[in-house]
Amino acid sequence: MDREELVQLITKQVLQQLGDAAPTAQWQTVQPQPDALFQEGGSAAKGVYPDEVVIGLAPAFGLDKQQTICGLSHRDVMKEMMAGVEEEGMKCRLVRVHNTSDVGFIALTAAKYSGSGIGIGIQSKGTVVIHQKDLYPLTNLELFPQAPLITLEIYRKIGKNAARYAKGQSPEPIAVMNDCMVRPKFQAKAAVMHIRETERVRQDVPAVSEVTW
Amino acid sequence: MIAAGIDIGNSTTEVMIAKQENGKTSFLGYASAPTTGLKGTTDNVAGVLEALALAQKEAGEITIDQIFINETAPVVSRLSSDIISQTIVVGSAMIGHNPDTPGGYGIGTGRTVRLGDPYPSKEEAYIVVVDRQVPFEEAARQIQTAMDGGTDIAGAIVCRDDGVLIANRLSRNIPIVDEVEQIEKVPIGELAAVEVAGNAMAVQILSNPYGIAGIFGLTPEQTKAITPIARTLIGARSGVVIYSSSGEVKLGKVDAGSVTVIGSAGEISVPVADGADAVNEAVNRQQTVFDIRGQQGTNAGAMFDEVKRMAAQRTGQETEAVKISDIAAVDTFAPIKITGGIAGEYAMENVVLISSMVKTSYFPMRALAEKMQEKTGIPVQIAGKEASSALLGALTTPGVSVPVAILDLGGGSTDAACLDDSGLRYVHTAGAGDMVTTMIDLELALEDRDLAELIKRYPLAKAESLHILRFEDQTVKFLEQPMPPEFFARTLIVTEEKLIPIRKKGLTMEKISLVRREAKRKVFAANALRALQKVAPEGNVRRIDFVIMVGGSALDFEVPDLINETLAKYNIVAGRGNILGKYAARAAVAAGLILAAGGDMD
Repeated sequence: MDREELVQLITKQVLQQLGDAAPTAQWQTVQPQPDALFQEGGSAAKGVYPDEVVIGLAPAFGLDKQQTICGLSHRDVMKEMMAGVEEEGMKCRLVRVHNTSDVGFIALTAAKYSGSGIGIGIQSKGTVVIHQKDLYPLTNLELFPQAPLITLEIYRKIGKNAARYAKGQSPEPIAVMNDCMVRPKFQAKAAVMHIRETERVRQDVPAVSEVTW
Repeated sequence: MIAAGIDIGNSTTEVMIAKQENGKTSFLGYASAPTTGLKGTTDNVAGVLEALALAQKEAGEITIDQIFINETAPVVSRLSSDIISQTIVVGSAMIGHNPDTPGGYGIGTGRTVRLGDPYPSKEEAYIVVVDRQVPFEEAARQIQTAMDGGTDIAGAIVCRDDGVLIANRLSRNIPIVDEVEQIEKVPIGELAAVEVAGNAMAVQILSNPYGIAGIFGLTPEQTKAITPIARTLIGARSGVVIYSSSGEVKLGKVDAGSVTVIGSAGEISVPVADGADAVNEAVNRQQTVFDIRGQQGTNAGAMFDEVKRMAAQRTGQETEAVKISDIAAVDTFAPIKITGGIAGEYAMENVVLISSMVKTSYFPMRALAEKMQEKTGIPVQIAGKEASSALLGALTTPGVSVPVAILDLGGGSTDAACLDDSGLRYVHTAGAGDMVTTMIDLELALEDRDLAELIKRYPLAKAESLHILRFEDQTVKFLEQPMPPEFFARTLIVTEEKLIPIRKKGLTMEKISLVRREAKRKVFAANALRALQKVAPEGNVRRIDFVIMVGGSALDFEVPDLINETLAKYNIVAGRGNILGKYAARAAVAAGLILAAGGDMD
């Protein structure tokens, strides 16, 4: 059995374990539930005010399973991140990015739509990147890759730091935990969540749309 | 004869090669390399060989017949810092606190009440105390409800970093101080005042003793007692004063021991806590200093013992035989956590920094000379005192004549030498570059000497975007290649090769450059004058016409200008040495060694 087959097998088993082995075609057609976190709007405009930070949501964020990989509700995560921006005296604008599930590109897109040039990208599983509009996609200002270890306090600090970058103030380094067991422990779940996210990617609609909280 | 002059300094080794014929000297080559090992020890040989090879390359096809090395200035120096003030909060009377983002603005006074507890009366104003577990939305809702119900809410003290968030959700502006870590220590039911200043402002009322007296209706006696509270709030953007009968703030002097200067005027003792001026005055009152002692069991005592032990080790003398010849003190301050504070508050405490110096009889130069001779196969001769060689070398600077003085601005000591009709006088005084580094380290609370050293040496810039660097003099440079993302929005140290980001929060470019300049001014301007006074004709600095600055700190990008500013008052021409009209000031000793050996310049 080669590697690819093995990954497929594991993924299948994990899906079954989650008790949620619905065919993929169905996910794509699922409409936002009535209890959706956000109101989806039309295509978004680029910001012009320097006091805003734009948060870019990955295609599935807040839609299917409104929880990050470690079970934090998407509502609480957004509330803390937005509070962090607000506490620094800045404003927050939300957009949804439809054409990619890569958090680096989502963050960069948000940054390009942000009047301050600073954007935050967030995936359903909770991975966050702070980006600046002039950076290359694969670089970033700050990356928080180990989603299972990000707490609500850290989401607040991420919001604060993004706002401080936007104000041109030197941000405070954020202390995050590091756990080498996180990868093996969460790899399968992360893969599944990422696949779901990717299946929501659409190229047939405007890439960036407005979202209201 | 082809001769090489070699000057082994604390940080670099300089080599000058020259040809001497018929009493004439013509210079052929010069090079510099980092000094290896501790100055004056046989470890230096590696650095010497490297510099020598480089200089020979420049000089071309030659064979060196003779090497001259200098008798290094036999100076060992050491620094100590003594904290001499201490702020102690007894009970919980004050939070003089600088959270980044307090909420609202203005001043509010009232009785403290925990959020969620009933408000005893509608007649009185209240300061709401919000615990850690209350989310900001809930806190704002409850405060708004109380306001709508007619309760007079005058301000809030909040545990989490929620000040702006709560203020944004209220219909009326109230001052809110947040990030008060130990909120449970705030006494409930006491009179309190909360003040938040606007942007770029500091609290006005709580930093004024009469302001506090007015709010709480204090008697003259009580006003005296709260003065330390007002003092610690000076410069803070927000603050809280709680008037509890049991609370008290003490501003005490710390017993940092005393220093005794033994000299021609007898023994003069002075407590370190009296400050730098008092210590320097004690030294200045002695015509000649025989020795300096610190009180045993104190910081000062330990420092003097340490410097004597170091000197003894390097010279092979008995520790008892080593005498301290000079000290220099500077007043500075350091942010120190207030004992008993409840929000992790800091107070700027006074610190006295003392640099002490030992003049030993000699360094084991002979062993070094022999080792060099063995490695190079060239005869090595120890020639001349460092001061006279430096003077001879410095005199090759175009546009200089006698009476002339040199100022050797080093790391551990500031040396001066003066040449006039009556001959050569020289002096080593304590206090130089290392002292500046320590001051920067203390005042910015870096706890990182290497970073402080970099801040001392190089100018600053800020990455305004990834392509725009704004320097501290407000000039701007546009970069073709973007900077790495981690430089974004940070203050950067601009060295010749690279940019180094300063990661510590709250250190703006303006603050760092102010501290750096002040440190240099306090140490070098004062010390340069003191050293010159000791060597000037009849002790009168005005009698010197020319001052030439040499040594490592003379290469600093702002120290020479600071010294120039000071000396301008005395009508002295001062400037960096321009050795042989083309070499940097640090080549002075190497050139002087050769000139001393014989032969005028060609």
